[in-house]
Amino acid sequence: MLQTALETHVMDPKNPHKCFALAQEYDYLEQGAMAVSLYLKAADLSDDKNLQYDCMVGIALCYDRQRDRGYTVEGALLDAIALDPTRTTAHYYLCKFYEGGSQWKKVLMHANTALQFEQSDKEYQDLLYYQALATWYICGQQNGKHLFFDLVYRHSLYPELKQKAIEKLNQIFYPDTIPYNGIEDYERMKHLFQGIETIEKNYSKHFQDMFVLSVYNGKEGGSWLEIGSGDPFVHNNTALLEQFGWSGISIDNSEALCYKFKENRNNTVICADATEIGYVDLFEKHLVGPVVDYLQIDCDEASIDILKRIPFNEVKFGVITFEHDSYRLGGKRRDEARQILFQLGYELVVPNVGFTDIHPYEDWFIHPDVIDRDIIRKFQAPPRECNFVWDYFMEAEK
Amino acid sequence: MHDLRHHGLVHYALKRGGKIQPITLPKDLTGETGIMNPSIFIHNGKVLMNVRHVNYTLYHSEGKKFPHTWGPLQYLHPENDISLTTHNIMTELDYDFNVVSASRIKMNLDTGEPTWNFIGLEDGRLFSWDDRLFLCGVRRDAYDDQGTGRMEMCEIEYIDNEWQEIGRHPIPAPGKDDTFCEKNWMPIIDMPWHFVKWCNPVEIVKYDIDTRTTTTVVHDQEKTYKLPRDLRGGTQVYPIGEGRRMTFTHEVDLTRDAFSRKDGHYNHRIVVWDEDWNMVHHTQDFHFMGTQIDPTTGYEYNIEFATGMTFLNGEVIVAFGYQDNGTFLLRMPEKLFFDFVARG
Repeated sequence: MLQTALETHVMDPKNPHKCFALAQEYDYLEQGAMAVSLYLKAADLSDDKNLQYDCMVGIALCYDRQRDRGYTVEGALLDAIALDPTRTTAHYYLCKFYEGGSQWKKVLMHANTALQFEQSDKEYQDLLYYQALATWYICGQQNGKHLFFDLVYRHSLYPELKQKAIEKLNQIFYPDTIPYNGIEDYERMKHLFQGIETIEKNYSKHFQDMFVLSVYNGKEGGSWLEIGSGDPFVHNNTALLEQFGWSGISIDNSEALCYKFKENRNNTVICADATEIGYVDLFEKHLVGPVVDYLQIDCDEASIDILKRIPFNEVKFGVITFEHDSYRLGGKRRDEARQILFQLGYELVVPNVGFTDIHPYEDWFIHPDVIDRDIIRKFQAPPRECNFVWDYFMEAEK
Repeated sequence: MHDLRHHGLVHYALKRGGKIQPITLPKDLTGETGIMNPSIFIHNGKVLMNVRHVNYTLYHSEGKKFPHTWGPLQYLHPENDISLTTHNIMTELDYDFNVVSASRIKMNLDTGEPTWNFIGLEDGRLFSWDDRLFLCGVRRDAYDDQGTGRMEMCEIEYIDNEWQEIGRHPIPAPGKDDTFCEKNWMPIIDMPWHFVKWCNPVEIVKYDIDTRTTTTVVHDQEKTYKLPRDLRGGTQVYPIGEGRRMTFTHEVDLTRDAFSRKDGHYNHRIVVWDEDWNMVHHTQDFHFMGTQIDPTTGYEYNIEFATGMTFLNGEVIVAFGYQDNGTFLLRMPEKLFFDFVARG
C-alpha cells in the first residue's frame, strides 16, 4: 500500500489528496516524521479546509507520539481549530493534551466548546468525560461529582471509558444528592405515578419525595410531618409534595433555615429542638392525625430519640422515611428503630436505602392500614445490606 | 523539457521506467523521528546503506500556509533537549533493495561528554578503500565548545553480530587547519584516501591516515564555472569510464521570511569531471520530489539531500533524504540515467 500510495503521489505531486493518502500510509506504519512532512505538504497544497484540518490533526498526533513536543502538538491542533472551530476532533485532542499538563480550564473550555457541535458517539462520550474531569479538578465540588455520576449512570459509554468514569467516581465519591432530572430520567423510572410528567426536578437528596408520591400514585392534598426539614428546598423532602397540594408541619432547629422556610414555603415550620418537643400537644394544636400520609425523621444521631417520642398511638403514618446512618453509626439505632416500628405494624419496604451501593443510611416503611398491600408488594425491595437508591428507582438500561 | 523543479527527477524517472522505493525503519529504532541522508554502497557483494537518524522531526511548511509558531522551517527536537543528536543506522538490503536488517552502529570510540550540542557523526558517506569500510561525515562535538567541525572517517566492521566503530580518523583541513567547519567532502571511490573537498573550483585533497595530515592535490582557480550557487558535496564520486567521474552535488538557498525567520531550499545537480578534473558536464539543477513555488516571488522551498549512490545490475541507485524526515531510493536504468545526464 505504501509503495502504491507513493507512486500515485509522485505521478501527481500537486494533488493534495494523493499526498494526504500517502501521509496516512506513513502514519499507519508509525513513520511519524515522514507523515508530518506529507501532511504539511498536503495542507500547503490544498485549499480545502476539511483536508487541511485533517492534516493538522495528523501532524499533531505524529508529534505527540514522538513525545516532548507539546508546543508543536498544541500549535497544530490550534491551527486545525482556526480552520474550523465547529469540528470537534482537535478540541478533543486538545482536551487530552491539556489533561496531561493538568490545565483543567483549557480542558473545560475545549470540551464545552466541542459539545456545542456535532460529533461522533465516541467523541461525544470522551468530551463528556473531559467536561466532568475538568469541572471536578477546577472546583472540587458537587458539580464535578454530578457530572461523573451522570456519566456512569445516565450516559451510555464505551466500556473502557465507563470503567475510567466508575473509577473516578469512586475516587472522588458520589455527589451528596441524586436528583430526578425530569424528562431525562422519566423513561427509566420503575414507578411512574400520576403527574410525574409535570415534574422537571425534585428536591430530595435521594428520591424520598418521589418515593412518597409513587406510593400514593401522585396523590394531591396529602399531609406530612417533617422532622429535620432543613432548607426549604435543598435536599428537602416536602417541597415537591407542596407542589402537589400537600400540606403539613415541618420542624427544624436552625433559625436561619426556618426563617427561609417561612419566607419561601406555604406551610408551617416550627423552629425547635425535635428531641424536646411535646408531640401530643403539637398534634392537638395543629390538628395532626389521626392519619398523616408521610413522616420524615432526618436528624442524624438524634433520629432514634425522636422516633421514641412520637405518640404513634394517636397518629398513624402511611409512609415513614427514617434516617439511621448505619454506614457510619453502625446498625444499633437502625435495628432499634425497626423493632419499634415493626411492633406498631409498619412494614419495612425499602431497607438500607443507600446513596451508593455500599452506604446505607435510611429505612423506608409503609403501614398496611394506610396503604394497600398490593401496593406495598409492588414497592418491596429485597433485604439487601444496601439498596442503592438509583438502582431502586431506575431501570438498568435506557 | 520535463519540469524537474515542480515535479522532480523521481517523477521524470517513473514516467520512463525508473522506480522509487520508500525506506522505513522500525519505530523501536527511530522513535518515529527523522531518518535521512542515506548513503548506499555495495561492499563485498552486500548492499549496505547507512541512514542518518536524528532526534528531531523537521517541520517545513513549503507553501507557507502553516508555518510553525517559530517559523516555516523548524528542527523540532524534544523541548527539554536542545541537542541535535545523530545516530547512524546501518541497514543491509537485498538485491531488490528491501531492508533485511537495520541496527544502530555502536560508536565504541565515543569518549566523555560531547563538547557541543550537535552530537554524533552527521551525513556519513559510506564507501570502502583498500577493503576497509568507512563512514565519512562531519563531527562537531569533539573539538571545542564553539561547534567547530571536522570531517571524520569512521571505520566500521560487523563484529559479534553488530556494526561497530573500530577506528576514528578526524581529518584536518589542508594547511593550517584554521577553518571553522569542514563538511560534505566526497570520497572518490576509485582513488583511495582522496576526497573532492569543493566542486567549483574543484579541490581534491588527500588524507594520509598514518600521519593524519591532509594535502591539496588539485585546486585550480581557473576551473571555476559560472553557476548560480556554490556546488556543495553530495554523494560519493564514481568513475564512469574514459577517465571521467561523476557525482551528485547540492546547492542551497538560505532565505528569511517576512519576520526574518529562517527558511531553506535545496537543489541537486549531477556533475561530470574528466581525468584532469575539468567539469566537462553538469545537469540543470533539479529536485527529487518536486517542490512548491511561491508564485509571487518565484522562491522555491524544498529540503532534500542525496549522500549516496551506487550501480547494480544495470541500474543506478540514488539514495536521498526528503525533508530530513524520510529516506528513499531512486532506481533508474543506467541508460535512462545517462540519457538524463547527457541531456543536462
